[in-house]
Amino acid sequence: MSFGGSELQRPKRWDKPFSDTMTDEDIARLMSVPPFSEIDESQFRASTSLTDILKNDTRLVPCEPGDIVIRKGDWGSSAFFILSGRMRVEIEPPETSMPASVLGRREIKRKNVFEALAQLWKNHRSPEFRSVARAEAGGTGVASRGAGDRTRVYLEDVGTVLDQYRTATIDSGQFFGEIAALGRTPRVATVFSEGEGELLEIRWQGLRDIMRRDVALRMYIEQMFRERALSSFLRTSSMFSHLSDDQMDELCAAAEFETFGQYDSAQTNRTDDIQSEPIVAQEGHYPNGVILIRSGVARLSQKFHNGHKTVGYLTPGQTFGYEEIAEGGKPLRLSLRAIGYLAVVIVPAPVVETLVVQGRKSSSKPLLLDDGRPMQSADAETAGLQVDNDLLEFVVEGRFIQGTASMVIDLDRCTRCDDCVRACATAHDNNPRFIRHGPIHENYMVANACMHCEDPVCMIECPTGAIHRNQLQGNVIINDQTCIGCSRCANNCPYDSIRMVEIRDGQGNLQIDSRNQPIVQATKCDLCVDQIGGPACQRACPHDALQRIDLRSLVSLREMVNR
Amino acid sequence: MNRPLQDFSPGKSNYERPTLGWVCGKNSEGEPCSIGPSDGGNCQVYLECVPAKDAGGYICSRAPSFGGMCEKGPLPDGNCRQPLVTCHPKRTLFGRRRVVTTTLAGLALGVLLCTFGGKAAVRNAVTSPGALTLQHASSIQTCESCHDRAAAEFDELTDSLTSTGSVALADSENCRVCHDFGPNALNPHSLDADVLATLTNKAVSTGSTGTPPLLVSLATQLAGSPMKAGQLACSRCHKEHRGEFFDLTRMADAQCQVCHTSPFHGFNDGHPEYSGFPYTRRTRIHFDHGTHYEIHFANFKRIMPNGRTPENCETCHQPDPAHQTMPIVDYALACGSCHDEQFENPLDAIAFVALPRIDLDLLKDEEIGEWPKPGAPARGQDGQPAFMQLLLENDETWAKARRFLQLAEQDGDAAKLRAQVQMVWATKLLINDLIQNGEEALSQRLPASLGDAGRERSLIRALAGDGAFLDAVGKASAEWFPHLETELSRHDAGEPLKPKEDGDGQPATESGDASPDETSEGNTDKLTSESHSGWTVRSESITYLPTGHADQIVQTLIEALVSIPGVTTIADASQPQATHQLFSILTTPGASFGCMKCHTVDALGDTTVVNWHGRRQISRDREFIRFSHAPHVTLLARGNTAEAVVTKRECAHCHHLNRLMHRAEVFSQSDFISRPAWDSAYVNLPEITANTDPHATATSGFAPVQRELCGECHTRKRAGESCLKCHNYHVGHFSSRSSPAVHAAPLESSREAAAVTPDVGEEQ
Amino acid sequence: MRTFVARRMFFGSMLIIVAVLVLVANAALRVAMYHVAFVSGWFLLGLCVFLALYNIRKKLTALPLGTSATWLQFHIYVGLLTFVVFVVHIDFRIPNGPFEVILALLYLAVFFSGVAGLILSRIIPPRLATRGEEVIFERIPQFIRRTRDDVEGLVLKCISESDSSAVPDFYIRRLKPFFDRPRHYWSHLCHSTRPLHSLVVDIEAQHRYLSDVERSLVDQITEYVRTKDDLDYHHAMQKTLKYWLFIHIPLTYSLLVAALFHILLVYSFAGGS
Repeated sequence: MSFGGSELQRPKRWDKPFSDTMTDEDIARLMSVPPFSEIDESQFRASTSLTDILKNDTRLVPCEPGDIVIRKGDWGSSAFFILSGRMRVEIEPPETSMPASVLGRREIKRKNVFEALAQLWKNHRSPEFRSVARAEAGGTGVASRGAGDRTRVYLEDVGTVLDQYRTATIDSGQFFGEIAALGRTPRVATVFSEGEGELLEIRWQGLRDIMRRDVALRMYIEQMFRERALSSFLRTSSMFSHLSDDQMDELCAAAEFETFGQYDSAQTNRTDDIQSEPIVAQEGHYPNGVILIRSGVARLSQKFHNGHKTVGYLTPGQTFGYEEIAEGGKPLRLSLRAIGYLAVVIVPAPVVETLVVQGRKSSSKPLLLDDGRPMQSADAETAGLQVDNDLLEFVVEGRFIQGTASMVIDLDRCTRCDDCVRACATAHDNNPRFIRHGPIHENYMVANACMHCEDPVCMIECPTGAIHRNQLQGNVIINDQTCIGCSRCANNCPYDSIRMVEIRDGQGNLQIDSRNQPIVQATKCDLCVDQIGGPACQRACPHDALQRIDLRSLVSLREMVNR
Repeated sequence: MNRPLQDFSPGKSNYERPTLGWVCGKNSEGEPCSIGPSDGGNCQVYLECVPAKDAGGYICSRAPSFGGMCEKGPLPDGNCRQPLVTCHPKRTLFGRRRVVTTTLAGLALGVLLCTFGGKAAVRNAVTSPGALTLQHASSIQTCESCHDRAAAEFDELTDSLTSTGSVALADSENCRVCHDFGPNALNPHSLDADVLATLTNKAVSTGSTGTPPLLVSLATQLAGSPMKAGQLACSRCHKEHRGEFFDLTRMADAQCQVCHTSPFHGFNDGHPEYSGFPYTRRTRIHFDHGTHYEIHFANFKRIMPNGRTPENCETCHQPDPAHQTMPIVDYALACGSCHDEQFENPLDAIAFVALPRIDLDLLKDEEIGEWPKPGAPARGQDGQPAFMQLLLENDETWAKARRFLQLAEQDGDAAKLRAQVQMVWATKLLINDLIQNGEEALSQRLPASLGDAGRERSLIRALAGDGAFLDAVGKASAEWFPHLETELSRHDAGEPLKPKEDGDGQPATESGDASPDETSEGNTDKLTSESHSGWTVRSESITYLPTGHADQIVQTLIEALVSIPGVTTIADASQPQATHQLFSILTTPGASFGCMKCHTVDALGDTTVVNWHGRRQISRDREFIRFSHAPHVTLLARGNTAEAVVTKRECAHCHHLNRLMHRAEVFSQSDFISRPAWDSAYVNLPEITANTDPHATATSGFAPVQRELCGECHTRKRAGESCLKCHNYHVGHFSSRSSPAVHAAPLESSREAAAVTPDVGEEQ
Repeated sequence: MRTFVARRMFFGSMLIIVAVLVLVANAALRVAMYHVAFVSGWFLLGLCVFLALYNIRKKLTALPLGTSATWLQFHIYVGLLTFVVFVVHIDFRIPNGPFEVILALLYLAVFFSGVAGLILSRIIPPRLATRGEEVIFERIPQFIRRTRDDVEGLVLKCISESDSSAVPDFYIRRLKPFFDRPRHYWSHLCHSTRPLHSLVVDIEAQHRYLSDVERSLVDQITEYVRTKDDLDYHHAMQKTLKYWLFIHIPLTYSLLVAALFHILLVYSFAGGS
């Protein structure tokens, strides 16, 4: 029978290794050096042996003087291990750190006007077209997207940079970049090569597998974080940014590093009630220190009759418990609970007392609260704007607080005209990338569009890294060329925002594998990352009903509610 | 409560793609297939499961998204076991809307193209923008009669989009077929451009200053004066197709004021005062109501025993058929009862022919033949009458002799004698010629300078027509020169007039049997004889006394004289021309026949016209000011002139006698002759200022009407005060049917008027 | 303009100002015997084209041409303005030529459908949000189908549970037609709950013939009736929200086509001054 579909192999993990150039010699060489030489291979499953991991999830990166390996603020999904040479890491506070110009940051390539316009007729009339050729080739040019042979950016004059900016050295035999890779946070510091050298770049999936099997490495990594990332992380908070170096060292020495919840048990099961969430700090207790959220989300709750009322939430970079300490050790007004996986840094109260509170008093500079400060009742009245508590509960219960660009629709204004859907389809080769349905609170609907989580659990189990973070904007996007349709991301997404679709060829025929099974791929909103004007849905809404808003802080939600 | 309807998880809710053109036909039953139709709108449910070949035969390949594998698996022949439930896909909402939109727009386009591309008649029927006004609807049958394009093909229509020419202007020509507003119809006020310019300058110079109405100033700010356009299409102001009863000529005052910017806000609020209205010229017939009413009529019993006093204004002023103006009735009715007597005074007779005054004693030895004894010179006979001079002008010897005589004064000079002799013979020749050849003689001798052939003929006919003049000449010669022919023949032959038997010469008169006293008696006797025709033969002259008012001969003679250029002015006092002499004799008021006591003469540029009649009301001119007595005088308005009796009081409401005026002014000489003859509003001689001349406005003896008088009734609330109430827009002399005067009047009456009135000349 | 109220105030006052300007200009130009019809005509056409462009803009979502919301604001207020210009254009008269009448009717249809659409899209959404479950229009048949299946399941249960055929008979007679497809469009449009009420009353009237078991099942059915009624409501309202455009948009293009011919006519019969 006629069946236009073209047969091809169903892709698997490691169909497309991180690098094609890893030879067995390289592997052997790696296995001979620590820490790999110390790893007990027997711990690994046969399907994913250490050597396999090294072969498929790593690659060797030679570097010249001044090569920028990691740039502050980038979203990276791989860690680095220095085989030879020496790296420099910038430890300037944010205000004085290297400007983007020095780092030669690249803009994401957007469609120009003509390309955008061409979509009108270039779009395929049948849904879910994928280029057969690309899919078959397994994407040679594809790796360049992620972290492959990207055009190198380097500092012309390393000397002057070293003079101008304070840097720390990282010597060979050490890891770096693992914190961002594992913690799913942006890179906290810029790292560049001081001289000739060679790096081993490891995809975070690979690193994750190794850490699962090898306790020593995990310990080592955490130790690493305390030494290195802590100070630069602390400096990101306006609370400590003014401290001098030795004060900062003091701070780092005192700071404690804690995690709550399971590393990759995402906040998927939303049924667990507030009681079952691990408590970070208890309402009514005396604060034992200022808590800084590193990654994950924490709920601010307050006892209310026999239950707990959610009054807000904290997202990475925000702090908890400063006021109480500043006011001379009052008991905490709120309690802090971990929602899913939470990594925090605790700076003991005495240290804060001496370093920050006193310092503030001396320098009459008022304390800058982070923008994302949870809106508490007091502040709310001062701002004259309210987000009613039910809505807040709804946002937190639904875990929409993760969303950096949640699609919120005001049903009192939405005429169900589907313009947003059509706009989305136009921007995505005639495929709507969201569905105009979803949980509703009163007249506010959070539609099933990817909200680009702060902490994208969908990425956790992706075997190929097809679903990744766009480097500059931090949008979570799926790379069609490397998606193998395993639908783990779709299953992991707690918001039903990822859909598996049967892909088709130019004639609109299904693409099928050898067993006539249609080949599926994951699709989701990419926030129109390659479009000119930003999210088409928002621009296409005639009645100002639909907005993509950042729910990590309540600011934009508040504006939407109170217009 | 039931379970919620929807579950958002990918497995439980299908992927909505409202942008696609088609949706599964089974959706309306509520169970759409998950694969959906192709973009061509074909059901492709069969794609959901295509069993795959396997070692042991076929195995089901239904994907989970399509419902997952069936446990039984496919048939052995490799076909799916599940019954294929195909459907007829339906269009999605957007698909349907697209279809509806395209069809409807296409339909509209098609229908319109057919209508416009098809028969012009159909197209016009459809596209006619509305009913015509009644007056047009009655006369106009087809669109073509007004619109050139009405019969055009579709492509010609489309050309009109690119063509630069103004259709409206072109179509205006079609209007002018019926509505003739002269050569400048499409100019502002249908006036000649230069005239317009001069008028504009005049207006600007005299224009008052102040703040115009807000809307007007705004309009001028926005668009300026529409007249700048130069060529004004009729449609600019006259909007047709607005229903049967639409007023085509309606215009807002403000619209006039866009050009007429001297700012005023209403007839009673800033409108310029009248200057001498309605006396835009002095009357054609001199009649001073003041003196008549206050002096003459008062003293009738004494001075005019059989004169009739007019009972009221209508005795002399009857409304014209249009009831627009109140022209004077005929002389007989109006003036005759008193003024006829003035034509019966014999002393007023004027000599037309007279013998030259010669010194008989000096000439007694000369060959002059018979010659009557000199008697009392008739009136106007100084030297020789101007008329006789005209007859003799062509005679060289006579002319030379006369000039000589006028210069040379010393007596006894031989040359003088000869000159006198020559004059004698010239006179005799003339008389003989008149007797012999009559009319031919006249036509040969009367100088061509007496106007064009037509007038000359009429003059000659008047003179020779009833033969009265020639008879008079015959009689005169029989009296004066009984043997005229023989004398002349001998004189021509050069023979002596009579043989000399004896030496002593006989006085010439002896040959005549009439004794001097006889002749003197005869002269006196003949004074009254044969005066019935107006011609009288006297001892040395032939005089004429008019036979009454409107005497044919005098009238034609004056006409003829008047038609001579510059006749009214004296060339040089030393050599007064005969024509001028004659003219001044005939036209001096109080003198001669006194025609010019009442009748005035108008000089129209080079031609001159005598006003034998008062103004004939039905002028074909559309004047700038429009006034009709009909609506103003209640009884006139009833229309039946027979019983329409207008009381004096009623007229006097507007027409006040001007008591301030001095009689001298009324009859000032300047009023009689050569009044520039422009007829009121349609000013085609810009320099005319007659209505500022005190005499001109005074001659009727009435004071000018004041604006306030009109203002009493003409307010917005009562009689209306819009510009077009009293002013015409199109001014000039048109043969147009649309001229209101003709509209109001029955056609024949206007024709007759046009025919009878001599001052048609004024209107050229 | 952070709030909608502020925005409405701003655009509203702008509209009034412009409208007054148009009227004054019209009066002035008439006084100047300018061809106002040409001016207002072209102005009107320009406005209409701009309004029609909104439809194009909706298709050009990819280009940064300003947000659709901004466009809509202008669409609304410019649309309202066209009415003033239109009245000026027809010179405050009712046109009396066939073609002109058609043209005017087309315009009025488009205009008033637009106004109706505006009112609907401001009134209906809040009502939708407060009634039943928010559903996608295209999915309503599926939900109706599922509700019907559930109800029929309950009816079958009744048959198995009791020997009386009261419930099935009633279902066939009264409920099946109701559950078959969307119902009571007009009464829902008029926001009337009469049909639902009478249905519920009828169901309760049945109680006296039913056993306790049946009664409990019938009560469940009543719940489904309410659910279905809500679905009908959504169907009616969303249908209205979507279908008014079926008048507005197609007529717009017909209007523009007709307008072109109108211009052709005007220029070939009254072109120039």
